[in-house]
Amino acid sequence: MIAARVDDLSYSFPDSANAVLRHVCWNVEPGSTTLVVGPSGSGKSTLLRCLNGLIPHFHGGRFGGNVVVLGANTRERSPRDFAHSVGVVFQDPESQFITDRVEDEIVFGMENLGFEPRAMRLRLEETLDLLGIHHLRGREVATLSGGERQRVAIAVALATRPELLVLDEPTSQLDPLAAHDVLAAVEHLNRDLGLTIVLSEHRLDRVLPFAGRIVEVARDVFRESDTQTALQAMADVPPLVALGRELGWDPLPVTIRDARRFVDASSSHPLTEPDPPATGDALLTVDGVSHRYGDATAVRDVSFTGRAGEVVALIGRNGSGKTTLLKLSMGLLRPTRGRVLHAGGDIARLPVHDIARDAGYVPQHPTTLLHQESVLEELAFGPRLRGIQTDASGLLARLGIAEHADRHPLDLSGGERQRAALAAIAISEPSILLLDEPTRGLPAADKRALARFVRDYASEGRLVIVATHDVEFVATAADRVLLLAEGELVADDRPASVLGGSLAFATQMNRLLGGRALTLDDALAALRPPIHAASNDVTPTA
Amino acid sequence: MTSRRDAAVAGDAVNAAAWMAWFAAVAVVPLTTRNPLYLALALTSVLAVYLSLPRLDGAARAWRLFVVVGSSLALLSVGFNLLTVHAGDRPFAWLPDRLPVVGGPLTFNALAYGLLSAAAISTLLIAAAAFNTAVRQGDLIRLLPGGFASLGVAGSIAVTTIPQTIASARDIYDAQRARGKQFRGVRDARGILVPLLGTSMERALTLSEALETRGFGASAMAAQTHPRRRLHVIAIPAGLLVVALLLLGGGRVALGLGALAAAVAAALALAPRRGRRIRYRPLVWSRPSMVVAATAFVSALNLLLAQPARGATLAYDTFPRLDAPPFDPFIGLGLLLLLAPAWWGRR
Repeated sequence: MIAARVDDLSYSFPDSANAVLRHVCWNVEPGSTTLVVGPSGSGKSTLLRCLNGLIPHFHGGRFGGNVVVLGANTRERSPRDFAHSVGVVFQDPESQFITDRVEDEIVFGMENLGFEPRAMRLRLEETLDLLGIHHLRGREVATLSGGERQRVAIAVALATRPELLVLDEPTSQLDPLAAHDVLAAVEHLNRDLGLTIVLSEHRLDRVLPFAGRIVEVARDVFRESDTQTALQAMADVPPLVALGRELGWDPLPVTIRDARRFVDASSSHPLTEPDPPATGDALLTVDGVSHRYGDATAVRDVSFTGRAGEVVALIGRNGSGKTTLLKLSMGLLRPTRGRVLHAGGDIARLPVHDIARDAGYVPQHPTTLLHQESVLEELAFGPRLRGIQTDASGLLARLGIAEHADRHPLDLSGGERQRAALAAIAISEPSILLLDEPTRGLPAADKRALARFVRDYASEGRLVIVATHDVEFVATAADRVLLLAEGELVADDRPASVLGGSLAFATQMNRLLGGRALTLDDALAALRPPIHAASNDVTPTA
Repeated sequence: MTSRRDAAVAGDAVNAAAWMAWFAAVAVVPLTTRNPLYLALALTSVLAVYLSLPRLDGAARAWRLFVVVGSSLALLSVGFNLLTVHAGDRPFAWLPDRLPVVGGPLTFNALAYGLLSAAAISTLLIAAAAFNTAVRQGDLIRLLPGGFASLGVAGSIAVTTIPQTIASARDIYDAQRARGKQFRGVRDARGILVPLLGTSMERALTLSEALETRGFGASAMAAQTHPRRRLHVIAIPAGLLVVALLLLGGGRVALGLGALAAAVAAALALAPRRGRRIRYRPLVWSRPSMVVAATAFVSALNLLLAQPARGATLAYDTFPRLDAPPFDPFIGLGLLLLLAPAWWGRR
């Protein structure tokens, strides 16, 4: 039996004239792992919600065609009827928890479906084992880290032993190590238990090794094929695949191990790191800063200086103190020890609205910042407070969201909101721009545009500090990398040194070629035979 | 970290029902007597139980704050009582009569009255804190009869959502300040309320999708598909509840309480049978649980029957004369039984 058969599916949300999905036909084979990719707002989440009947039953809207999941038509059954056979994990794990304890959360679904207590107990133990979260069983959900939370959310979906598991961007909030743990658990479920998995994700570098089939969803496009075929044609691929395409490797590598056999260690040239950009005055000085929340020290004795013209990346695991350091730099939190200086002046006594004249902060959740009726009004807000004239549409175009200028911010997709929030802050042109996880939910093309944007922004004599998990973004955008661990600054150097010396935070090219490359361009320069050398080789034999 | 709550998982600790019995037995004391000796015994026992519990997680910390603030307020009321009540036979100082309200004699009677009230309130507060520290909110919800399962889930969602909402409000406040916004008046609250509404709506949507996806109400709905039956389930208890409130409001207490009981009974009886959620981990009556429940029962019964069965005096008043309180050793012993969880709960 086919796990899911999607037959001529069309769908548009209520109050919307435009169809999100048009005449989609797709079969999900049992035991397969299918990766759903596409630009931000293209309908990936919508497609996933069709697989347990949340669309159309929960959301309404115009629904055409049929979706048959495990033999049952979603037109005739409600999402509740799929509760035992389809497990779903939504994008934001923390807003889907119903109880306050891990164990209670896992049994909640089984209690609803009337499992016998003995069966429940057995399933609970199995589920905890499968995901390796036995040690979390008695914990309060609120105290879990991001990766733990995501694994609990998957455990919750698995407890009723579904045949189909649907995951919506399972690693978007996770640091590389936590993401690896979560995906390893998912792969194990697929490989050893034959669970059918459908997942959407922007971080292709993380999930491609596990994907058997790829579905591309974009405006007016729906394509389903095996991984190799899809990778040949896709516009947005991770650096490793792009490298393989450039150099004509067959099959295209999806893991570092795949790629190694094409790389001859001797045939390449060592990486010459570009000179550090000429930097200007110190715009931000963090001097021996510590910060404590109650009994816990979030940031401990951190010192660094950010200069005009620099893009500084702040990396580290979930909970390593990145956000706290950004908030301290903005004056939203005050150091328990040490000083923060903006352009040489201590900000300790300045109110935040004064600090905001020359510094801007884009928080991790863009919804916390957006409160106007449209994106354009959002952009007018900051300049109006300061009484300055600005070019809103030019900025929106540079960030690739010009077409959404008149839409309500809450109608935008996650990635679009992220950029709208950035635009709302950047429009006032603060000399210090602090960004917290700006690449979350962005596909590769938008990330490249964002990297260009922050580079340009800094090159006009300003400082950009980006807290991020995204090492590929760091490699293309940053001049300098600060690595935080448990609130302490453990490295402060050029990207090649910090990322190259790290297991967790190395880029794909770095893992493949060692110290010789960081970005795709580095790798191409290192692996392509230099043209003059090739012609020299030819001459003697001719 | 292994805590008492983890021990409860293994079924060798005092269960939620036994804790509830203990809390009820404690509550009987301040409701039946103001005798300082009895109150002191109860307060000491409750304090010992509370201090014997590990108070590590978030909820326990919140309750600790509650105890500190509540007890401080109770002590403040002692001073207030002393300054405003000028009756009694043991004056020890005078404030000039021309002072409004506080002018007049200060009496030991008023001081004692205030202290006894503070002791009574603190006993209840600390008992509530101990109860909430020892019992998980999830286990409490499981104590609700099947018909109230949805009520329990609603409560659970509220408990998980409130801290998330507070956290978002703080994030929004930070984000808006970082945009240069100043919060000076009610008008500026829009900057917080609009995004808060937006994030809360989105969270509510995700949560309802999650409930739907995880089969909440799956069987309850099936049982209630008959519309007339669905109407009964709500209309009959609601009608009885209105009657009960009218009777209580009109001073007919006995009839009112009867109607209230009928409303609860009707709600239970009409609740859809198939809608019963199966409870994972039913109550385990381990030895500690039984000891705590039994001692609580004996203690409460001992106090309630002291007057009708043995003619012991529970009443005590500091007005008009301040006398030494009577002491009945059996009541004293009964109150010491409230110490049971301090010993058994620790296992």
